[in-house]
Amino acid sequence: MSSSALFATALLLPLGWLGVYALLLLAQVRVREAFPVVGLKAVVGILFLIYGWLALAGESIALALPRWLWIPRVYEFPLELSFTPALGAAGLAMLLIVAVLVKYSETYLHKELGFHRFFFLFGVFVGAFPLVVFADNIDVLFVGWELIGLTSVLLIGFYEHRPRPAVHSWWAMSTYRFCDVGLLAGTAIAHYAAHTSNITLLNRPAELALAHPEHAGWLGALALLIFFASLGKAAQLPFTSWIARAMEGPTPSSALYYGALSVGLGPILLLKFQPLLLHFPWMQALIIGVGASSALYAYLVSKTRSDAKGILAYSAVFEVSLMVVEVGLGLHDWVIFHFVANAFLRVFQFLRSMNAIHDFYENPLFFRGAPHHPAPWLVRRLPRALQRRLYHRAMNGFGLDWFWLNVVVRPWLAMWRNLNSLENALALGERRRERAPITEEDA
Amino acid sequence: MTWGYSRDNLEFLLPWAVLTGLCLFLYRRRGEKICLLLPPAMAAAVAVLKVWLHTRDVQDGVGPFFLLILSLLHLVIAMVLDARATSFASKAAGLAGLVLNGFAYFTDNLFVFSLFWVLSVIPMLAIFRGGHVHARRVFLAHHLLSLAALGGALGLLQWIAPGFSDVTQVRSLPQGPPTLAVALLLLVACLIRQAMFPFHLWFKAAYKTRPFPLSLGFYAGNLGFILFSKLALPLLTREASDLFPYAMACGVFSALYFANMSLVQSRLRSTVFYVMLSQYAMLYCGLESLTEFGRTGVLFQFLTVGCCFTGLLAILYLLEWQVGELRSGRFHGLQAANPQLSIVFLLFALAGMALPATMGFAGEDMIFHAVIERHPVVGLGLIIAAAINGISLFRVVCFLFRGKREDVLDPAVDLTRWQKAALGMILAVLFFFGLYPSWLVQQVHTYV
Repeated sequence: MSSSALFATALLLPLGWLGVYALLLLAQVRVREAFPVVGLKAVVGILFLIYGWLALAGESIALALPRWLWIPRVYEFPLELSFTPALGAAGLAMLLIVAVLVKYSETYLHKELGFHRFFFLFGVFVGAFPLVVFADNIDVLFVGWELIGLTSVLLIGFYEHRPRPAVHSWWAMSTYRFCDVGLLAGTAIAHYAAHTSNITLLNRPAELALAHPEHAGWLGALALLIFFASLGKAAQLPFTSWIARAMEGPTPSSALYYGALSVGLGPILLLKFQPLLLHFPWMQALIIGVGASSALYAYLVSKTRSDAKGILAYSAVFEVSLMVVEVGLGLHDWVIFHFVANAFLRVFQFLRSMNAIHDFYENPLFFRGAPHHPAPWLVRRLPRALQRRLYHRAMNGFGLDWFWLNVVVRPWLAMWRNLNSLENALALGERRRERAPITEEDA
Repeated sequence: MTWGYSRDNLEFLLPWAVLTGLCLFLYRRRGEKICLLLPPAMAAAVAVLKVWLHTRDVQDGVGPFFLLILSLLHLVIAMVLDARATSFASKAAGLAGLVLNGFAYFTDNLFVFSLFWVLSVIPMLAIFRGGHVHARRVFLAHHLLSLAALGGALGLLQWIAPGFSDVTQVRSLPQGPPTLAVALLLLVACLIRQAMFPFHLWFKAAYKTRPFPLSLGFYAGNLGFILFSKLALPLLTREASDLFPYAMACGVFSALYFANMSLVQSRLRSTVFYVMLSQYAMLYCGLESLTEFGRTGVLFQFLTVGCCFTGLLAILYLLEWQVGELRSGRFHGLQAANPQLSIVFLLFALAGMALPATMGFAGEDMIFHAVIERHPVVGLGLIIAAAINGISLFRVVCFLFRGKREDVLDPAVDLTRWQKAALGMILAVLFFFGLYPSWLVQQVHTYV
């Protein structure tokens, strides 16, 4: 079997397994818990062998699957993917992490009501992640990107009988959808300005500008939109606050998405478009600036959080922000190494987080007594009053939630509520003002 | 007219056969009145014959194509809604709407079209009988305005080209300001009928005050769509192509307006209706892009929107009938008692959000590309509207199925076997052609 065929098999295998699993669930066949566990392990095992083989072979593979959406001579949506050994390492890391988490979740979610839902969504993640990492086409990347976002949101709202996860999943959904506008608009603008959606071709901005001088200005807009799209998933400023809310889901999903892989997809997206982004010096400055300020923000907030998962979430954002800075500095393989290393560390920390109290007080392998984290060196040099103020501000996340709710969301919705009242008065003769809940408190 | 059989028409035979079988089944097993089931079957059969006997071009094809979709969806609604959930009068009004619209779809005579345009308003008006006076006035005012615009256009047409009645001969009309005025009047009539901004208040009055028949939501506006694609668009293209950016701006404004409105609705049904209107506004933008794949995307997306919102609204009606009015002030926690319903609703909502692997993704992709190719800023507006629509639909899912319900529901309140079959059929179409859209897209493209 050729390398391309192997690669195609690796991409289609999760889809086949998911199809069988979905049919069994929809047909209401009594599916035992062992089915998804064994199935997912088998899929992950086979994928690991394939990716490992391809990575060791050390060759790059370009794959163009049959025309998925095609009108002869009118329209084409090509499915193009490319495998490189460096990206293969990211794929292998994903598989190792998923394997660990499947083993962990098997007992963690045993007899849980949403057991099958959880494993199905994990399966979707396993199928979608390679689409993002190996996509050589912005359209294909968008497909994987959206599917990962959806599974993430559904897993935040996993405990469906509680209202808070629902509100938080909605918050995360809104952030994702808002930022995904960047990717979708970027896709369309790539077609418009460069007449291609191939990432390799888009990463030659100088050539594109020469080939389509009338649309050269749009390439900057494309770079900006791609960067905007990465902000949501990577929880960069000003979209950081959803990450703490996302901790409502089961711990294995928090580990997979917000500790390790999903949150790291932001820098991976930037990495895929690195030549295009760094072609514009202002974009380079923007990437470094946003990454550095997000890192500082996440660092300070993580120091004041009182919950283990919150600390870990912001620590993960800190690392991801550093990766964004690294992308801005022009590093490539280092970013992938950082991504993989961070993923393993965070998964370990998330999975141990539930034992934190036991570890600190009883486990001889860890410290004894309550942990003591002194304020950072630089902060200790500040006057006491300023330190206290900084601490309080960091505890409140520097008012980021307040900003989104009171400066953006509420005024915006208030305007539309007034218009709705006007419509009701015109259409129904009603004078009563309607209110739709938007915040956690309202809900 | 070309008599003969074409392999390309096979796709019309299969749904018709399925439809007839389903009608018979519903009559025998569910005790539905035969008079409610025959019209969709007849309409679908006529649509099949019409397409089979005629050469396919956009003038002949679009009407039967729409009618077939609407017939299928109507039947699914009939299967999903429990016989007790909707009154006979409401169903009958829906069916009358289907039949009268159907005649309008088939005719190329402008006067016959206008006659059925007028007649099809009557069933809608009938549901206001004895109801909300203010809402009825709003409804009437809008439709009278629409009729005035259509009548004005017809009068002007007779002045420009005495005896003109064949829609297919639209390109033979003389050029000049009067023809432009005709085009603009037709545009206004279409916008009112399709409930586009700022002429959407009649739609709100209808669904908020009366047990608005589900299917009417689709029939009501589609004549506007047909008139737009058959007459107003060719005229506008010829007379005032400079006006298209403004027309597209109106479309994108409608899409954004309805999307934002959907966020602040206190009744979940209203949210879904607004999202539906926003999706229809996107279709206008796609048509106005004047590209081949843009129009293909519009027809494809028309099918998708019809399927998605049939499912979403049918389930909402079913739930409202069972548990009362569903508002967004609280989490209804229906997941525990209605697990299958929640999954089916979620899948429809995902298709409505144009998630990859659903038909909506392919349709929206083509529309966005087409619009951005002509006017990038308008395209960006559409993408933002689509994002907000997704947030609204997810909000509906959260409020309906998440949380804990205080009163205990009968666990039997879930989908019956036949409701599952009907909704499953639409879902299968949405996801199958979402995973492999090429075949259907190419079929739809033959109409463009």
